[in-house]
Amino acid sequence: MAARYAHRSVRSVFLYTREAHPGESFGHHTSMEDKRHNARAFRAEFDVKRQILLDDLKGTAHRAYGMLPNMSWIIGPGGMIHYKATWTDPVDIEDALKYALDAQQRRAKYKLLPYHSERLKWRVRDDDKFRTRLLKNGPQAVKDFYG
Amino acid sequence: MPENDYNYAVFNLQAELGKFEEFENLPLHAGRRALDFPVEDLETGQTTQLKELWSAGLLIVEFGSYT
Repeated sequence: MAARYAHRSVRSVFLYTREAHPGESFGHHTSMEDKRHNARAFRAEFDVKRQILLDDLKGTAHRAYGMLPNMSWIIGPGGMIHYKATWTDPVDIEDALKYALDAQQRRAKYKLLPYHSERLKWRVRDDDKFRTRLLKNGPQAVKDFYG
Repeated sequence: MPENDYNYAVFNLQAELGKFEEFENLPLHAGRRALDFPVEDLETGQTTQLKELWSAGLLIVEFGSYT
């Protein structure tokens, strides 16, 4: 997505956190090298083209931003937060991105005041896919989640 | 939070569900200023500041892991 908007100075990064569902194959981190190892495996399996950044081992950035397993944020020049979501949904992110870019243009022409808007979003729950993913992490990951 | 608690070896569903409720009380909201932290680039190993990434334009940040 970011590539489609790169000409408008949009950048997208993946900030690697702790393992959400550690298992025997991909366990929790006890060192930065563990974190790098799993991040490289993630990059290889999903052919990630985005820049991958590693938080520190204590999760300093992750904790400050709410410590959710797969949240997304959009931050503007100067550091203003434009969007935050408890889950990552590319469609929703693109919608928010288009709005932010449009607002940037309109702010150059008109005097605009910010206001807050909140929406409840919905995502597909696919237990079969999720269980398969957990199993790749290791049987323990399945047991920890489903009991 | 101790490092070992953050990097848990065993996932606890109830504890993690609570994080979603806590998220609502997070002081970081749209319109507020984002927090800057040093992060390591997986490709280069170099440390960079998040603020350097949002200085030139809009920055999408997805948090996550392999698992």
